[in-house]
Amino acid sequence: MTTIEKLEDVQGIVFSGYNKYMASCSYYLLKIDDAAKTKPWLKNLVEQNQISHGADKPTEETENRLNLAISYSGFEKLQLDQGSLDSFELSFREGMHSEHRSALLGDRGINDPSKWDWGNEASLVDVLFILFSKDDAIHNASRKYHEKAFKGAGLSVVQRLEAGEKKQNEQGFSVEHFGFADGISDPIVDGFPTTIGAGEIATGEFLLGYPNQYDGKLTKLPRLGAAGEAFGKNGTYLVLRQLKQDVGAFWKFMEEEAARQGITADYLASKFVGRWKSGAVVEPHQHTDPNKVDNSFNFTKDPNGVGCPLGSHIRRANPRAVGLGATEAESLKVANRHRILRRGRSYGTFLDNPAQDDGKDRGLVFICLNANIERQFEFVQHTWINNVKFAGLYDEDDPLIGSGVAENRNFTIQDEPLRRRVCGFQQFVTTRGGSYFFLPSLSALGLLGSS
Amino acid sequence: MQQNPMTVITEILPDQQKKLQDYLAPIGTDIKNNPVIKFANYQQLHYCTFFVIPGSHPSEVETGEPALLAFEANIDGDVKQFIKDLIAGNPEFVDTVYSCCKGYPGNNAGQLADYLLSNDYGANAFYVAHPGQTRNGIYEQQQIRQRVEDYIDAHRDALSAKQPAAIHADIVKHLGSINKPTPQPFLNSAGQMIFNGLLAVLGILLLGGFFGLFGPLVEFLAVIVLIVGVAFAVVLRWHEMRDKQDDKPWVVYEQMKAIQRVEDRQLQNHLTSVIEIKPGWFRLTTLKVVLAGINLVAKLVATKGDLSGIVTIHFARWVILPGNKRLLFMSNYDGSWENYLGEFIDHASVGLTAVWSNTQLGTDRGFPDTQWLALRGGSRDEQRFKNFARNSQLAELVWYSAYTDLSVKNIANNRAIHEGLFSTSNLAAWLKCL
Repeated sequence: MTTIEKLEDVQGIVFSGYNKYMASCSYYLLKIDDAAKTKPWLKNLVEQNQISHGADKPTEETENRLNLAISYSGFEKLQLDQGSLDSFELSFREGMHSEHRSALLGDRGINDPSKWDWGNEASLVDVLFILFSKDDAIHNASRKYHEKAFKGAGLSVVQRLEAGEKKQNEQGFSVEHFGFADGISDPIVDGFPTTIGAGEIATGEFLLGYPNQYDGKLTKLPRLGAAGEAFGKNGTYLVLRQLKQDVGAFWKFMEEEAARQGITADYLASKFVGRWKSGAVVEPHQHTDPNKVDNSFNFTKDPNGVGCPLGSHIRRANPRAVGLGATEAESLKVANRHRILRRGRSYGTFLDNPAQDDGKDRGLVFICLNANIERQFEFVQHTWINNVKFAGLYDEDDPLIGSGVAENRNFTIQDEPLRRRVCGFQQFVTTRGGSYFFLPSLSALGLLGSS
Repeated sequence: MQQNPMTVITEILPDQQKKLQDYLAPIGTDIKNNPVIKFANYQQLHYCTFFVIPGSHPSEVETGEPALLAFEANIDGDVKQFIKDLIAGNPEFVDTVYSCCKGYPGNNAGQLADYLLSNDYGANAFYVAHPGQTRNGIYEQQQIRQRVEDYIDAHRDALSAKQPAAIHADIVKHLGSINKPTPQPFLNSAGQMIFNGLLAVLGILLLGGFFGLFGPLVEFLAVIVLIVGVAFAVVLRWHEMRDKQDDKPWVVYEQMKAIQRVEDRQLQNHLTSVIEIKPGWFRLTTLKVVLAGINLVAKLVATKGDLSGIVTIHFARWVILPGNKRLLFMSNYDGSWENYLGEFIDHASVGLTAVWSNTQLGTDRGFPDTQWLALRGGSRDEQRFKNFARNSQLAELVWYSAYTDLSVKNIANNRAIHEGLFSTSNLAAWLKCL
């Protein structure tokens, strides 16, 4: 078991999404206009203990939590020398919006960065500032305070994303806009204070400077001047994507298609997701939601996808012990080398009647942490989510969030004796913005502020 | 019909290199619709590539060698016949390309064909995902699958009420007359048996010979093998301890840009790597033996779309370049580079390390530290290995795939669907292929 030496050096969001005590949350996407003013502001945030870290677990009394990440353009503006800039991984340097990364991520057509609200070449984001608060009253006051501080720090707001009201189901799981329980199977990470016993995934997959899933090797650490690799230690990469969910179109399609095929809309939608609304995995020959979540499955009882379809969202997002190797153990080993740690929230208000859209913007602020963007986030997006050849399939991507097929999307639902197919549906989730960030340790933030 | 590798390596005339690149690059950019050559007209052609191997590698390795043109093709049947067809079909193309190369014999078709053949280095090790599966056969089976799927889509409700045998009968009836699938070549289908037999005989001879069971000659040979084995291990470790791994941690960015321009644009990718073989006879000999071993495994064991657990490779080959100083690796694979390299590490560390640990990017830029040729280290060092692979890579000028929309698994599944049409057992399992 790995021990994290200095929890107080690691930003708190690595260990927790603060869902328990922090009801309100804003994501500020900032541009650095005057780095000479930004640096002292950074230094102050660290020195005044405003940045939340792993050793200060929130309680009922806690009012705020604050985390901060910086993009490549941000580091450029903070005037890191070229050697230090080059020490970040390639995908981070190129940026999510770059031509090669977009091609890899399937950001084309309606997802093309040129159509984004933020994060493309025209509106690059330098700093991500996440503010959590206990309730709305405290949140409003804190927001005013920090927004004023941004001005003095030479920062302007490119975009502010407001996490929406939180919705929980009976079992305590967060519910996303389509109505499904979410965030059920985040990896249990070795050495995290939230982990009881040995974790299933190595610390170094989500925190730099610790052993990773490759027999305890270290993932490459970014360096900074005299501090060297100490700069990268206790940091990690943070991926942010604003994913707009077209809830009305989703449920309208489900109802029409289900009626055509003589099944229920919930059954069909659950096959897309791979879970029932409650969060229970869809098992073979099961036609209604058992309302009982057991996340210990590994698809080994359903290798052919008769219950949870081979191309469904949760099978693509984490194939577990089936399909990636000759044995179950080998498949699991491979799957575990590509995990991501999710830390986002929904944004926008919930629709009362999901089939009746009100035209408002709603969706997911997708945030994930990983030590290597190429091997983790981009791999999952490219090789599992968008891959039309996933699990031996022919021409279909993730029916929920995929963008590997532009139009006339298909989805195969394995069944006995014959598979069912759903053809010609649209993309229900669209990328509206995104950026790669580096989430430095507190000491690294201090270094940046004093440089 | 067997698939064969063609690897024509010719020296580029120094003053012609730019002309050659300017001629080939636009063809590569528009592989389907370019006005110069339609590779799809060659029915025996699965994949082909043209690329330049520069004298000095972009990752700063100065070899002092002249620039070479490599023309790689994966073809059904006879290489000679393909070359003849190519020259007959696109004489101007072949002529323009090879007039830029040393030893060009002029545009006489016969002499040109001889020239290409004499410069064909084939492959030291050659892997084919589906031996015996011709390009036309792959096309035909995809059409059969499409017809079956369309039929099910149109009649699912009625069909799903029936028993598998009845569904099967309906499908067969709907398709009408269909060609039978051609069986795999004998060597491939019986390969595993032959391989196991060879291993067993070798083992018995060695072990039995050692105890004198088969007479003094075999005993003598067994002892010799043992001595050679121990000597090899000692010399190998001596070499391994003196080798220096590449500690320059980053990839050469300009080179990466060139590779990115052609990579991950489609479902399949092509990887071309040229790397220096560590100097001295020991490494070269070791490499040749390892490649011969891999070639044997590819011919006999890995014949069902699975090379040591990697299920995404259509064709791959290793070629020792003329002069014995550089090693070429080429592969046509499904999915992204990141996935492909990941599969190397996850599934095929032994084979890969056994080959590449004999190579280097430069004297102090060797393969990640390896122990016992392949048993420990090497490609298991994920990031160092990926950097090594990246820095050895070259971008191709022209790359053609005959079936960009089919994965290795698709081709296997299409074949299973086709074969199932002529079967009467396991029909419920057969329906799962759809």
